Amino acid sequence: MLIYNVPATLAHSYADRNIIIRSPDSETLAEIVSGWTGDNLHGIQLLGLSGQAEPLRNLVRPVPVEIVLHEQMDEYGLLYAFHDLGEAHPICANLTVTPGFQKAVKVAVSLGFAVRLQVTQPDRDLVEEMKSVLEYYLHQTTVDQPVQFFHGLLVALYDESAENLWNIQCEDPSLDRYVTATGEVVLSRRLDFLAMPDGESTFLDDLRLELLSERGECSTCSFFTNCIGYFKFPDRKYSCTYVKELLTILKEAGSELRQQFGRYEP
Amino acid sequence: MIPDNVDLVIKPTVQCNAKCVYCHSLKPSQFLSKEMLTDVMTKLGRYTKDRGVAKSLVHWHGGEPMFPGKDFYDLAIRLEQTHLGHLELQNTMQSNLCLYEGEVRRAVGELLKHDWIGTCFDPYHPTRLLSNGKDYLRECLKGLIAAQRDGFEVGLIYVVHRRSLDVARDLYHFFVNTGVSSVLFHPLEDFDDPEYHLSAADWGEFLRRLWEVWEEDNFSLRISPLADWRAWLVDKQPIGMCEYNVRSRKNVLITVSPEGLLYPCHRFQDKGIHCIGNISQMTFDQIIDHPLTYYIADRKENLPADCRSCEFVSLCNSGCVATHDQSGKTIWCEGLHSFFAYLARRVNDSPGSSCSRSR
Repeated sequence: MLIYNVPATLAHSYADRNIIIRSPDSETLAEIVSGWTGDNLHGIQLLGLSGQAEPLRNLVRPVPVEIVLHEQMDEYGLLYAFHDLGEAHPICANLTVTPGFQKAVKVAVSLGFAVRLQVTQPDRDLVEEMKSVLEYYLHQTTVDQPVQFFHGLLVALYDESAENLWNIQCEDPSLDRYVTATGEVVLSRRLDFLAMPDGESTFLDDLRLELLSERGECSTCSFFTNCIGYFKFPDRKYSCTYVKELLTILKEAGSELRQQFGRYEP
Repeated sequence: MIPDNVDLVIKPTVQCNAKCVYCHSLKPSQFLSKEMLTDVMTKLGRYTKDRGVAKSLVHWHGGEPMFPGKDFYDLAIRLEQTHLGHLELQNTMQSNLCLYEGEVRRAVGELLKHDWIGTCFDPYHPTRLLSNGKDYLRECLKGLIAAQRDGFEVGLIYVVHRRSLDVARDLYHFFVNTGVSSVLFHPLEDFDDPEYHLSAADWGEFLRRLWEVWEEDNFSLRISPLADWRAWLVDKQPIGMCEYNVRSRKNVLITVSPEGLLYPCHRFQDKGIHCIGNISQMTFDQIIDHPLTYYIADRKENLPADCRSCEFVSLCNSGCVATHDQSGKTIWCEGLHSFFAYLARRVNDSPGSSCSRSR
């Protein structure tokens, strides 16, 4: 099953598919949701916070709402205006990992919103800030919503499962498609240069083959099973040295949890 | 004596699409003829039915067993359905997987029921080459990923040579990342190239380095022979690998060459020794009664005095019979002994890590 993330202007062209509809205009989104009769609407994305929360409060049915903040350092204070939207719909704040992003994370979490971090190839300073957010997510007892990808990866490492970052981040080539404003179908907003045709995708298998056969950093990385080169885009030469420090903290946390719960196994 | 099971290693050919630098098998070869394959299946079926043998495993080996193509395996499927339907039957294969595509992929998948297939590659040294000039590693990994996609559990054999010692750690992590379910590390024998020649001491040292990284990873990947030794040390589980156990005479294993020649092990077929006879001239009653069928069991039951008095005999059982020197000890004795001594120290020094049950 593929889920297409489509701009509101193209929503009706994809009316027979499984879709997520996005728009910067909350009124437009509210109007589309109100008129949507099928059960193939998997959520809406509000792009930025220039619109009002009000139209989304009165939707006829609950629908997952993702608030996408491209320029969050200018906007995150406006999240407060959406504080009671969570009573009507599951809310997720989609935040880009840029300097200072942890403030936006804390505001979103304090409002009871889930968080999804959009991260590409962070430098050392950004990884340090991510570590700080990870520390907050792992040990701050008031955090009761998932902060992705930390949460999904922690569960995978705890379970020792092969769940991978592509899936956790809703960029799974076997599930997710992103339709650009011009109608081009790509994998995701983050990777809008990766054209992704319909049908069964071999993208991750092909990527595994490339990364292993080139015998680079990924081929012996202990996180490869859960990562599959997620951080190797757009620059394949990007070094994961600092990212691996972050992932190591998650791995140790997963291991610690497993040992704690393992004690109670019969 | 009626065996519990009769397992076959069938080599449809010893030709190969690869030309690995140290290969013992590669030589001009015919394909196992369809008549010969029919003979094998018919006789096995008749024997097991008449004698009440319930289980059998057929391991397709080579050369490259996919070389004979889809017609050969479509015939094997039909023959098994006709003659071996009464058996609890498992088919497995050892292949370089470089030919795993198209109709061969379909036929082999059907025969093996997408259960288990083994492959082999060397990620860091140019020991494995394809005759067509393509990159062996890439072609093999392509086949491996395709097999996994088809639902196969893929096992791996890695041949350890001298240069492997420098990359033991990387090898381990690379293999984990391919998603293989198990790795058998096999020491390179009889290869005099000084760059690759593996001494017994090298083998022991490699095992030690491999154990270290395996232990760091909480023993997560199934590694033979380390896992066999560890299971014996921790749980006193019998050692599964034929090299290091004492084979029961109730478990019969016969290797069939492309010419229909029969051997008690494919290693002897490689070396052309201890031939039992030819399937075209023997019944399975005759094969089962033939003394050479139990050659390995005989050797394992009659170890030399040095082995019997060795403190590590229960871990080694004199090793692979095909590697025995004139004294009856394995050529790897020195390396195994030093590794077992290391293992004994690990177990005694830190029983909580090396020798306690992992997850």
